[in-house]
Amino acid sequence: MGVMERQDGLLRDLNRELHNLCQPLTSLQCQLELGQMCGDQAALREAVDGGLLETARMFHRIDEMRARLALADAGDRA
Amino acid sequence: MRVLVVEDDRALGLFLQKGLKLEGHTVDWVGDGDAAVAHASLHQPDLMVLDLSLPLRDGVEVLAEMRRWFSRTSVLVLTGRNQTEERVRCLNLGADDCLLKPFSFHELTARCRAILRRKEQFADPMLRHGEVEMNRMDRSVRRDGVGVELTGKEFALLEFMLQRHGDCCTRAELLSEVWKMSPDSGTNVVDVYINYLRKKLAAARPAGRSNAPVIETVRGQGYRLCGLAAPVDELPDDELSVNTLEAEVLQLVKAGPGSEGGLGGGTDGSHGETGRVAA
Repeated sequence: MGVMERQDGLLRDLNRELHNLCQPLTSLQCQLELGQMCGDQAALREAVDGGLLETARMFHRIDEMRARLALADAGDRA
Repeated sequence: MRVLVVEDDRALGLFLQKGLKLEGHTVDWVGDGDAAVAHASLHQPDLMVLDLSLPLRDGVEVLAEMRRWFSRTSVLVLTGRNQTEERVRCLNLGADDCLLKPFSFHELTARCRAILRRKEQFADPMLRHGEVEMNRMDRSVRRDGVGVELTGKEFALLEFMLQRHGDCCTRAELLSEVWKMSPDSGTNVVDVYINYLRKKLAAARPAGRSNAPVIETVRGQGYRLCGLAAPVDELPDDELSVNTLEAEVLQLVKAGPGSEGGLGGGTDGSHGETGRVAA
């Protein structure tokens, strides 16, 4: 596979991963704002619990991006 | 307003639903494109918040279907794709607005409000359901062409029910939306005013026509507008005659605030406020 093709593939993957990262990030933002809007103890607790689930989803996405970059890097060195 | 959230990400969909409910809308959530079109055909929401990346049917296809069949529903597109071309395509297909993910919930609700304001500005002043027709511009109501004189609160109650197109309106919704009262206020003002409306609408039926019910009780829930006129012998059991209604209303009013079965405290006493005589 040529350098140009690899770069194109990497850009496509990066674009997809960015899109996938937007989902939990939007969800996290909305949950925190909703918790703030409601303001009571239960709503804040729910926002924190939900927020932690979303950050876990984001960690997973970042791991996938790192793995993809490592693959691309290995391809470049080969 | 009735809002449909179409979002395949369950967590985000549920939070958008919850947040928009807090804004005072009636909100449903579906997770795929086919369900979105099916739901829209059944309920015709005022606004659809539509994610573009959907299973079964892509958001762009849903948007095209909406514009082809349900043009009265406004559409706010959510997208995680940053290409300008895609946003231009959606707007050209008939989306009312586009919002790029990630976004702030406050921005989403502000954009929803802006869309609904524009929609209201150009809204058809006529509301219709079965034989009942309301002109919100000159504030007149007719039943099969016969004018019905309503007070301001009766008008607001009927307007809310007409906007629901025959779907059930719960007592809590009516209290909250029409009277701006808490659903926990313990008043039976909704039932009293429904009886006023029933009586006036029944009295306005054209000569020679059966006294078909206009408002139907949904047991344990609330009320809804009936569909087509039914023959007299098919009237539902819970649809009361005009005389019975009058007696019931009198009884409720006589019972007074605070008494069991009476007109509870917290009513705004608006019955009898100046209404508009239908032309």
